[in-house]
Amino acid sequence: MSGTGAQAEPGGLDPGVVAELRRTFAAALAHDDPDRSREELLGAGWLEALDADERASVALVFSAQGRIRHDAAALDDVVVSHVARRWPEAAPGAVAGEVAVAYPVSVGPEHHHVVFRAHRGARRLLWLGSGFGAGGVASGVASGVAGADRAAGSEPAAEVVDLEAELDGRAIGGVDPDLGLIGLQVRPPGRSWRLDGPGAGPVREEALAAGRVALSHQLVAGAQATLDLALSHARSRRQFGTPIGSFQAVRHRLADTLVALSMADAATVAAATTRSPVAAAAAKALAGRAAAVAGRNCLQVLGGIGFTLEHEFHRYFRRGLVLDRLLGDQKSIERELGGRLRTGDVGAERLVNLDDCPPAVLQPA
Amino acid sequence: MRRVSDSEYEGREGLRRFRVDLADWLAEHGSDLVPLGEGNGLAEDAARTMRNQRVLWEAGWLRYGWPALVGGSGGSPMLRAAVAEEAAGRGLLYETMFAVAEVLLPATIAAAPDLAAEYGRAFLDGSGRWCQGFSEPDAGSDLASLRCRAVDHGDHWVVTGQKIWTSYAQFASRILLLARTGRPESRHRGITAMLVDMDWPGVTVRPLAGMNGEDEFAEIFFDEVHVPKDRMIGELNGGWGLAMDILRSERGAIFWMLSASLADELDHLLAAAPLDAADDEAIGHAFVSAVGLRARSWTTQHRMEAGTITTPETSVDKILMATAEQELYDLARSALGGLVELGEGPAARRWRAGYMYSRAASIYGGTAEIQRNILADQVLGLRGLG
Repeated sequence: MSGTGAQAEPGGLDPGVVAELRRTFAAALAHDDPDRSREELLGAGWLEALDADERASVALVFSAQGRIRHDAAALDDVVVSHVARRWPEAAPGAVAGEVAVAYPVSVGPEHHHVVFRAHRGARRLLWLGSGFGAGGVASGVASGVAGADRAAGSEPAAEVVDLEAELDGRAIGGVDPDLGLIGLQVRPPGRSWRLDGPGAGPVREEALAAGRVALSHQLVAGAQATLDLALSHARSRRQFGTPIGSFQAVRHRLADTLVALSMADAATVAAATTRSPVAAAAAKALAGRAAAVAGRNCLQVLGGIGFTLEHEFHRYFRRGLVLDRLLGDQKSIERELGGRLRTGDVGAERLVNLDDCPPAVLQPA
Repeated sequence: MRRVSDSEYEGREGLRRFRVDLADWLAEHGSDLVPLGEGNGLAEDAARTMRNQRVLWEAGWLRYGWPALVGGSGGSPMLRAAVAEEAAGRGLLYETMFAVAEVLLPATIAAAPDLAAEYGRAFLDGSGRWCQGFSEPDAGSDLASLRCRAVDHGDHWVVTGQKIWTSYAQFASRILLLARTGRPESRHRGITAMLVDMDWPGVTVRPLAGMNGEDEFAEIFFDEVHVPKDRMIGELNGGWGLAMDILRSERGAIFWMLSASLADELDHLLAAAPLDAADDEAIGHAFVSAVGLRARSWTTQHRMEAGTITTPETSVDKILMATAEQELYDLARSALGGLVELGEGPAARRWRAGYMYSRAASIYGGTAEIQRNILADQVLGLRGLG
């Protein structure tokens, strides 16, 4: 949907290489044993591709994760790469090798961190502060009071922890146990480097934006997969002597789903192209919106069978709910952006311009 | 006028330079252009947009993105979108930034170069507006059922019938008309496009008062109007294809400009309304919708340039445009606390007109329901089920 005839970015991967990587990454993530996804993805050259052309490789890997639903903790690599790039003074080698990331989440009134299971063997942990989405306070302008207090206090933007032992958290069941998140209530013990002071804000903004772009790709791909399920059902399921896809009420729900995910997809590509934190926040909100719209409309089209565990729908639906929570959910982001607009912290600026080039390489396979 | 080579603003870097040069020029010469008046009426506004048209044409800016055939200096059509965006951002309107020029001229240039050379240039240089005669009382969303009849009289047609929803017809010199040249039941196969002068005998315009307070739309009656056959655009009975091309191009440069205007309007609202934290979610929601619309319009612009977008896909853009615009004015109505409903004075009138006009966004240019049907049929592949 987002493709154009434009050329690859200068210095970006050659379109032929990208086409090849699309197949390789998808094959790696579709491995029979989900626990081997990360190993396979690394073997397929994910980290090298991330280094060479972030916009293209993130689109490929996260779209594949969204479609296939195996998660290889690739989000950690995206976030860590930005922190490492902008925080060289942290400590020699602090952000190198396999670094897992602990993401802040709210669970009711409590605040926890979650880590992707695929990275449970890592010996370094990037512990993200609450500015990474839980309270949605990335700018210092308060929208959630609790979040503002935490952000304004002594909490660093992030810390890298040299783990004394293997990560020891409980598996999070929740609505989507298949995602394989591990919950941590407190920061694990170990020597640490703190990312704080005046330079911390921009590093956090950049890493948060990159992570949000990645998650947006994953959410959009999940919404597309959900729509595909509903389309297939609408063509084959017959009632009153005709496929239900011939009924306008059904067709309009499916069209609305396409509209929502097309908008989120374009916003994600725009955010990846401009690298604007505000654009990335908007893209994540739109991707969360697209997942919600797809979930609501497609379940309605699928009807009863979509509600049962015999149908695949629930897996995408569950995944969308959880991914919406990571690095800021749709509603918190909208609230946060609204507050920043109201107080003049950001203007209703034009986040992408005609001379920005969308990538040719993001055309659907 | 600026004298530049065709290649001066080529490619991505060229486009960037173009925007900078244009902004510089506007900073220096913007006072030669007139902003829209506050409630001086439609005729005054129409005169102002035509005046700006002439100034910007003389200065050379409106020649970019148009071929030499119509007096243009060539280059990517995205240059046109860039001018529209920069001007709209400063509250400056000119005639060919609107859909009518953006949709009718490219189609005419492609299908009838001679007519484009003779009359298209007059549209661009600000000496004579065109308008669009498609819809009829009984042929709205179902355009293929149009009945306005063109009877063959050898070297000319005699046209009789009625058009409706034509914007600014009362100010136009010419109309691009779709008329039935085939048999009454010929549907989309028997329609021909032609360029008709509005001052020819038998043409009557009757403006329709809209609920936004302006008579922007009009009915046009054709009573045995003689139209020479050299005014035909495209092939005999080939008007349907032309109309479809026109609908697609409507969603290029125009939507880009509209998406920019929407962002500006949100800025105006933030400055005008007494907002508090309780409004944050609604503000953020409207903002995010505007960002998404702009992003989608951006990919559409680039895909049009590359020829990789199909007409049905642009129905997404149309739905997003209408949704974002209505969300924004819903927010305005709520945040302005009674100004829209009960206020007096220029600001109240302006917000009220904007709010009322936004209600039409999901109707004009193909209703939201028709757009969803098009997406379901032609993009999601649900056509012909059952």
